Order: sequence, then C-alpha cells, then structure tokens
Amino acid sequence: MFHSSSYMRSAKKGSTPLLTTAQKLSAPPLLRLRNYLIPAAVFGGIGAGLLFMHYNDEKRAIRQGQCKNDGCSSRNGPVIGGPFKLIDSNGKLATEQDLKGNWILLHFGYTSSPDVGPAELSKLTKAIKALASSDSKQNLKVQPVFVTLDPQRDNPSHLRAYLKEFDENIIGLTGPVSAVREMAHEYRVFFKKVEEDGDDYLVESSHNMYLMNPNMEIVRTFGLEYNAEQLTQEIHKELQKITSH
Amino acid sequence: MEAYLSKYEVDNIQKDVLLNARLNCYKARDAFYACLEKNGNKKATEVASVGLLYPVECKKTRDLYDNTCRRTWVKHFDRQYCAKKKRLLDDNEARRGPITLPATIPKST
Repeated sequence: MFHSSSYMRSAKKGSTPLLTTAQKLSAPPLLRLRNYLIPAAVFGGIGAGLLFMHYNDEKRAIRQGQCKNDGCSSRNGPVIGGPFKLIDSNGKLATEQDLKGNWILLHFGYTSSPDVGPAELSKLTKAIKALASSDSKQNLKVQPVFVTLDPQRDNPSHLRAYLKEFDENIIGLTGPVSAVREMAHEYRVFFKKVEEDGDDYLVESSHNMYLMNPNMEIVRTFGLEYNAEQLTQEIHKELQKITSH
Repeated sequence: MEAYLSKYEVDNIQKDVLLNARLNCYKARDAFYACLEKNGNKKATEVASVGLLYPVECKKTRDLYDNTCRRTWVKHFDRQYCAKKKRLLDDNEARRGPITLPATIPKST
C-alpha cells in the first residue's frame, strides 16, 4: 500500500516536467500527427502485403478432393514434361504427338557413357522385355524412349547403331542442342560436360527413368536404386492399377 | 532442325563406344586392376592418371588398357578405383586411431 502510493506520487511528479519540455519544443501539431501516421502506414502496408501473400498462396494451393476423377489426386505435383520437337534415330522429325497413346518409359543419357549409361539401358531393356512376356492376356506394352544429352556426338545414325545393340524397339531422340536442352529442362534433367580432354568429354547427369501414361503424364520416376526386377514389378503394378479400374 | 540434320547426316558412328569395344575395354580394365591387386606389395613407381600409381610389373596390362579405352573412360575408372580404395582404407578398423568419445558428465544430485 505504502509502496504503490509513493510510486504514484513520483509518477505524477515526473510527468509534469515531461509535458513542459514537450510544450517548450513547441512542435507544430502537424508534425506530431505525422509521427503517428507514418508508422501506422508502414505497419498497415506490411499487414496488407502479408494478407495478400496469404490469399495468393491459398489460391495457388491445390485442395484435397478438388479433383473429380480419382486418379488425378496422386498427380498433383509440379508439372514435369512438356512438348518437344526433336529428331529420331532415323533422321525424322519427332514430337510428343508421336508418343501419345502409348505407355512410355523415358530415359535421358548419352552413348559415350563409360558405365552407368549402358547399365541403365540394359536394365530398361530387361524390364521392357519382361513386361511384354509376363502376361499374354493383357497388353503390357511399354515403349522405351531414349533422349541423348549429347546431341553433338550422338547423331541419328550413331544413336541407331548404339540403341540397336540393346533393343531394336528403343526410340532414340536427338536434335539441335537448344531443343535437347529445352526438353531436359522440361523434365528437370540436370546435365553438365565434365572431364574435358581435347574433343573428348563425359557428361554428368541425373539418371531418372520416367514412366508415362498414354496422355504423356508422368506416373512414376525411377532412379538408379531400382534393379531390373524391381523396375519390372513397379511398372507392372502401375499398369495393373489402370487396367483394373 | 534442317541445319542439324545437314550437319550430322554423315554416317559418323563411333565404334569405340559400341558393345564390342565396350566389353574389350572392360576386360582390359579389369585385367589391369587385377594385376594391381596382385602386385599390391610391390613399389608403385609408374604414373597412371588422376594420381594413381602402379608397379612396373603391371606396365603391360596398363598399356593395353590405355590403348583399348577412351582416355576419358580410363580417367573415370581410375578415379572410381581410387575412391573405392580410399573407402576400403577408411573402413579398415586396424588403421583407425582410437575413438575418443565425449566423456559423460555425472549427474549432480
């Protein structure tokens, strides 16, 4: 009780000189008003910005159950893939329209790869063959497509000779560097020239394989960690999911 | 597109990356590394690539390896071999120093 009353007294004492100093400064009322207005405007602006960002995020987000057909809810990720215009291993123009209507197993690589490239291609070939022979009742045909990341060396005839040793049916795609780069970007494929030695070089790249449905939508991606059997199994599962619907 | 085709329409097939050449290269590579393993106790005096050294006993297999594979491939495999070796050495318990774990502080009661 005693403490608080003394505090009150001292506060009263303290406040009077403060007021007088403010009056002594004799700031025009407009300036004092500005002192309040500017922070308010700044905070208000930040608040409005945050509110806008929030609504913008909400608008862009895909809500659960927004998709009408059940298959699409699993494919709401970022858009991977897109149209392309390249040259196949027979020297003919090839676009995404030529691939539509088939299940596709798409792989990016280059023919001068010392070990990973050939290993991945033989894995892909094994899986495709196993799928074709696994079930005669169903049509489990998957079209293998190989896109080179090294179009400067992998010309159509060389690509054809190289791919033929794995499987006759692999579609090989090459083309102008800019077109290949564009497609690689669309499919989020990283690649980079390394170990340059005169004219010779290696290409470092990501090694994903993409399983695409007949509408050219990516259903699954497979990395290096899958062996031929697992790859076959997983593709088989995906194909069955669709045919059983 | 046309520019690309006219530039590359020539049948330029690089046979050294096709199946046969590839298998030959792998064979020569494996022979050299097998020799390297066999002569591991000998003094490594010859310079390969990427800092790899090998004993003079393996010179013949090395020359064959160098002549069968592309230079970039040899470098790539040498690098891989060195990385594998290093990993093996790191995993060797006997070569490891003592591990000092942080002392456990007794709980003060």
